[in-house]
Amino acid sequence: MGNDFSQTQDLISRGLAGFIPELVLSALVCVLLLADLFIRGVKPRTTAWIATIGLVLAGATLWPRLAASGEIFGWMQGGTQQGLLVTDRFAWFFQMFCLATALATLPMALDHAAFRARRMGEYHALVVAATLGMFMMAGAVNLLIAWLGIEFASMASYLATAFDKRDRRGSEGGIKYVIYGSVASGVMLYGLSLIYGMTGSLHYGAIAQQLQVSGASDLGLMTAALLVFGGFAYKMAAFPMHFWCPDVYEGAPTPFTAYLSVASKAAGFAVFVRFIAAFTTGEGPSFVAFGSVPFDASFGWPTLIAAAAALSMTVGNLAALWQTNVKRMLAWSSVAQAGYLLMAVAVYAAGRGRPSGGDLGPLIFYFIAYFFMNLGAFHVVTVIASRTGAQHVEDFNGLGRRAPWMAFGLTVCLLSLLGVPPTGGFTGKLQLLQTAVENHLVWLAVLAGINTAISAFYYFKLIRCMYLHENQAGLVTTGTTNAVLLALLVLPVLVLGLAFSPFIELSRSFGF
Amino acid sequence: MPEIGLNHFLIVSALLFSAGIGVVISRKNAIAVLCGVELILNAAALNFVAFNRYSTPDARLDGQIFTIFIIILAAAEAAVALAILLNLFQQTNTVDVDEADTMKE
Repeated sequence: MGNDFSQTQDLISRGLAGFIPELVLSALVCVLLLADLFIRGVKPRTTAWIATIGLVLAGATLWPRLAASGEIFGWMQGGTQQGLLVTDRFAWFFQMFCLATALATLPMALDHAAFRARRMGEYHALVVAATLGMFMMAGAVNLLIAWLGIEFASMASYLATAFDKRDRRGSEGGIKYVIYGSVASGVMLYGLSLIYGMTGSLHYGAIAQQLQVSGASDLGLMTAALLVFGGFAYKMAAFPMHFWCPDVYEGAPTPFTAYLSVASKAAGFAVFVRFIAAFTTGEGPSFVAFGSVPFDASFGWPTLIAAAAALSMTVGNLAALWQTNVKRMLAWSSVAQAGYLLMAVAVYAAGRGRPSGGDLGPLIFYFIAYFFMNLGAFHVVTVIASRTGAQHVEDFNGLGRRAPWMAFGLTVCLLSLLGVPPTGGFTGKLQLLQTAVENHLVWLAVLAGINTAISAFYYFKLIRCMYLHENQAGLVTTGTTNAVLLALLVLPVLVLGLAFSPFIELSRSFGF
Repeated sequence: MPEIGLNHFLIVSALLFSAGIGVVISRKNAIAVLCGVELILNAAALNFVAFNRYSTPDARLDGQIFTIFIIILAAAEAAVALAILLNLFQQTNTVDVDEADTMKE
């Protein structure tokens, strides 16, 4: 008994040593909430600085984990180590990614009109809590932790969406987010319980082993897979669980929309890719249990993901065509972007087991580009909206004259989202298409090409408004901080489009 | 009278799950929808407990522990959802989700 106890103690202390960044974030949440409660008249700027210092500290403690690999909070079970979280380069990338998004949206939150003269510690605490949940999502190798991470991130996001209590659209967005979200997570949970029942384990490695040894009933696993995919699609904002996206993106405070569209999507992809890796064995292109008759042998995860990718990009782009509200337009655009990104996941799932397959480089590269171009676009929208109240496409008329640099930055980001050279979006999309063609998903690549052409209509609609339509309103002054942040977000978009080779190598090294 | 086994639990949980989905789809009252979500979560929790009892041979308690987390998460989710709903109610005087449509274009 005593031996058991000391073993457990040893396990926990070793686990905690690898868990320091998460502990820093947890402490930061508490500090922010307490600062809000106990410091009389605390200014938004003060809490923003506390959040900045805390996030940088978390990043500094996360840095050494780049070299680490292995599972933490693990125990030995049947000769293999089974942990709850894994520390590897893939997790490191997505954790750093979410941290960077939280940092980049801090100045946007300071600038957001509805946030002025409010106690902001609570908002920052929610963003940091969501980031903490995303840390767990990126590292989860256990169904329980994956689900808890998703719920943790979601719950903080629900509250931050409805943060501006006087804004009716915020409350509407929040209630839609929480209702759709809890249904999606409940459905996903039911699927997880079926997987647990069929494999007898929650650990990805053990599940993969079990599936290889015994297989399971086709119909049962297929049901479970579809149910679980619903939950993941919700976090990725991909078809078929994308319908919350426009209302939540429009209702949420714009800085939080920016955070949601980048970090939340990235964490959703991270947790999904890890899950997929456990469920596609090294044997062939199809999901193990779907391989046999009665289902077409070609049906499986790759087909499911490819179909979701095709529908996401088509639905997203077609719906975006009709939007007049800029945030809604960017919301549908982000559904379409999820489709392009899913294309890389489909290729990854199809390519597992082939010597050349299983490369996550294109996905990671596109995420690096997506970080800069999407945050850049939302940054300009936040700045312009908080100064002129602009919401609709026509409100951006004449921006090329009224705020030349902001308009230029937005143009670069939109062209990158569209995929025009010389931007990071072009390089990223080219890689996605190339790998899709190489892996016999030609139809998907062609569809992505057609979709790019469709998306040109709405991206150019906004650009045309900024440069070709006249507006007599005066100049918009934007401030130094905003200009610096804009430069930091827009220049990398161009760098990724012009000097991309080192970044392609780098992104390839983050796979697992 | 057959002995109660895994299948009985699975059938009950499938019924609970279907009832939950039915409520979520058919009801417009946000509080009723949240009740439906609770049914779905409980269906999953019942599955975890039953699978842990009947189909994991060793004495591990993964499913039971998962269920404890589901109970905690369900409570937290209800708290968050009701807080947001209360805020919406103060603005619109209704808890009907169909009324929350000012953003449709």
